[in-house]
Amino acid sequence: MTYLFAALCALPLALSHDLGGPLGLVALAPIMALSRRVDNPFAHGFICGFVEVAATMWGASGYTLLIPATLGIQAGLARGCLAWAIAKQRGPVLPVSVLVLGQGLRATSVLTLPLSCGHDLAAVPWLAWPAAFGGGALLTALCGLTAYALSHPESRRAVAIYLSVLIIVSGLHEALRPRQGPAIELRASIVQGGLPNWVYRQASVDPKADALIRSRYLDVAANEPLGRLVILPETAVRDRWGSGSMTAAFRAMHERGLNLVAGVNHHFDGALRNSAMVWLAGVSEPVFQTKQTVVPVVERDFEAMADQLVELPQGGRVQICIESVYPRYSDPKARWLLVLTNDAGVGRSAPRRAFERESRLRAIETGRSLLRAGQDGLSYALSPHGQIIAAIKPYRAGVLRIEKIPGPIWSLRGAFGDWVFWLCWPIAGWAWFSRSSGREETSSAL
Amino acid sequence: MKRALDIGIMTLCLVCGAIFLLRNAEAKTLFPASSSLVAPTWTQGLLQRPEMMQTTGAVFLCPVHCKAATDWPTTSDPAEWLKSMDQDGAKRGAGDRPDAPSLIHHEGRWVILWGERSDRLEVVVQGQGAGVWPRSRFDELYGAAWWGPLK
Repeated sequence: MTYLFAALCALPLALSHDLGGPLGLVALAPIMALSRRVDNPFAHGFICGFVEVAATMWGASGYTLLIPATLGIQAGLARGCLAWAIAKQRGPVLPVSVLVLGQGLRATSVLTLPLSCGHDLAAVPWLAWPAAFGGGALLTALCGLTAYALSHPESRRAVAIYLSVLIIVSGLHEALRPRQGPAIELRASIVQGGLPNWVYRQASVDPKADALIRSRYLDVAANEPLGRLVILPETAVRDRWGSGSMTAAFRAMHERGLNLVAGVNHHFDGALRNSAMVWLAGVSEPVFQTKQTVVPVVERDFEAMADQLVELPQGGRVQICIESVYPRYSDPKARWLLVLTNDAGVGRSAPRRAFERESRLRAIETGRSLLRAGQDGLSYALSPHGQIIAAIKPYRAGVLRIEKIPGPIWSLRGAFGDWVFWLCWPIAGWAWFSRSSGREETSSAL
Repeated sequence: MKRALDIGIMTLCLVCGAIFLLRNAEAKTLFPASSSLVAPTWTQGLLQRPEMMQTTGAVFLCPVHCKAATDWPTTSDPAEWLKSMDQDGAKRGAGDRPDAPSLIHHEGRWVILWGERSDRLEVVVQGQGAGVWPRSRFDELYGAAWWGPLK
C-alpha cells in the first residue's frame, strides 16, 4: 500500500513539470512526508522518481523504451537518495543538498534530464529571479526547503531562517546589479512553421507535406525585408545542405541581402551533422556550427562535433535544441543567446513545456536576452530576467519580428557557473558526517 | 488522524494526476497541418494520409516522364522495370540487410524503402501506397531480396 502511495506522490511532481510555476514549491512534500515513516525509504523514493518521469515523458514516448527507462531509473535514484536522506532525520540540510546534487547530476549529459521542481519555477519570472544568483540549483533548494517545511512541521522555524537568508542574499544580488543593459539592435525575424511533427515524418514520401514545409519556411523567409536577420528553427526543412531546392532557396535569400541563421543537416567531415547554418550578408559562403552533443537513439543519423562556436551579429551565440537544456552549453561570453529547436518532435506533451522552460532559465542564469525559434512554438524573445518580450502562439504559423532586445546584465550564476551545486557537495558531506544535534521527532507530516 | 491525513494527501495527488491527464490528453493526437492537409491515420500498419494510398512505385520514383511503365515490377527480377524508371544505378543488393533507399520484394509484394530513420521507416508499399511504418518492422525486411541504391 505504501508503494502505491509512493507512486501517487509522483503525480504532483509530474503536474508541476507540465504546468510550471508555484506548484514546484510544494510538489515534493508528499514524498518527503512519506519518506520519514516507511521502512525502505530508498525504494519508495525510487518508485516515486520512476513514475514521475514515466508520467511526464509519456506523451513523448515515440522512441523505443531505452530513453524513458534510462531517464526513469536516473530519476528513481535521485528521488531514492532524497527519501533516504529524509529518513535519516538530520534536519533539512542533508536532504536539500542531496536534492540539489541529484538534480545537478541529472543535468550533466544527454542521457539525463533535468526535470526539476526548481526549474519549473522558471515559468514565472517573479518566482525565478533567484536563479540569477544561484541558478536552477538554488531554485531547487528553495523548492526542497519549502516542501520540507510542509512535511516536517517541527522544522519550520529552521527552514524559515534558511529560506530568509537565501532570499535576502539573492535579493541583494538583484538590487546591486543593473536592471537592464544597453539595448541590442537586432532586426531579427523568427519564422515559425506551426506544423505538427507528422508532417516532417511523412515529408520524404508525401509531396504535399513536403510542399507545405517549404512554403511555411522558405517562401515566408524569402519575403522578409532586406537587411533582416532571418532565423529558422532546427532542421525546419530536412534537405541536406549543398544541393537541392533548400540550398538554392537559401542562396537566393542571401543574394537578396538577408542575413540567415537556419538549422540544416550538413554532411561534412565524414558524417551527417545537425548544424546551425549562419550566413551573413556580405559573406561569400555560410559557416556552420555543429550540434556539440546529440540525443542517443533519436539522433543516431547524426554525429556530434565540438568545434568552434560561430558568432552571430551583435555578439550572439547559437544553441541547437537539447544544448539549451544543459547549462554548460550557454556561452557566458555571448551578448545574447539564440536557441534553434525542433520542438514539434515531442508533440503537445509535458516534456515540450519543460524543455521550453529551460530556455527561460538559461536567460535568467546567464543574464542574457534569448531568442527561441521553434518549429511549432513557443518561439519568443526573452529578457535577461526571463520575461517574454514577444512571442508567437504555439502550433501556429507566423513571423516574430524583433527590432531590439535588452542587453546583457551581470549575474553571479553566469560569472561563476553552477556554484550552488558545487557548494552542496561539502555541505552534504558535513551534514552526513556531523553528529546529529537532536534527531527530529517522527511526528505527523504535512 | 494520520489515516485522514494520508487520505487527504492521496486525494490531492489523484487530483494532480487527473489535471495532468486532462492537459496531456491530446499529447499523441495527430492534428491536421492545414485545411488542405488532413492528419494521417493508421491503415494496415501504415501511417498515411488517404491521398497517399494512390501512390505506386512508378508514381513515386518517376512521376513525370515514365508514364508508360507499369506501377510495379511484374516479374521477380525488377532490373528492367528499374531501368524504365531511370534507376540505372540500382543493382541487386548484397547481404541480408537492405540499405535504404532500395526496392525490396517482401512477402509477395514490392516495397520501396525510401528512408530508415531512428523512429520510422519511410516506405511505398504495393497495394497500400506511401506512408510510414514503425521502425520495429525493419526486422521483417531482413533476408528479403533487394535492389539499390535508388535515387
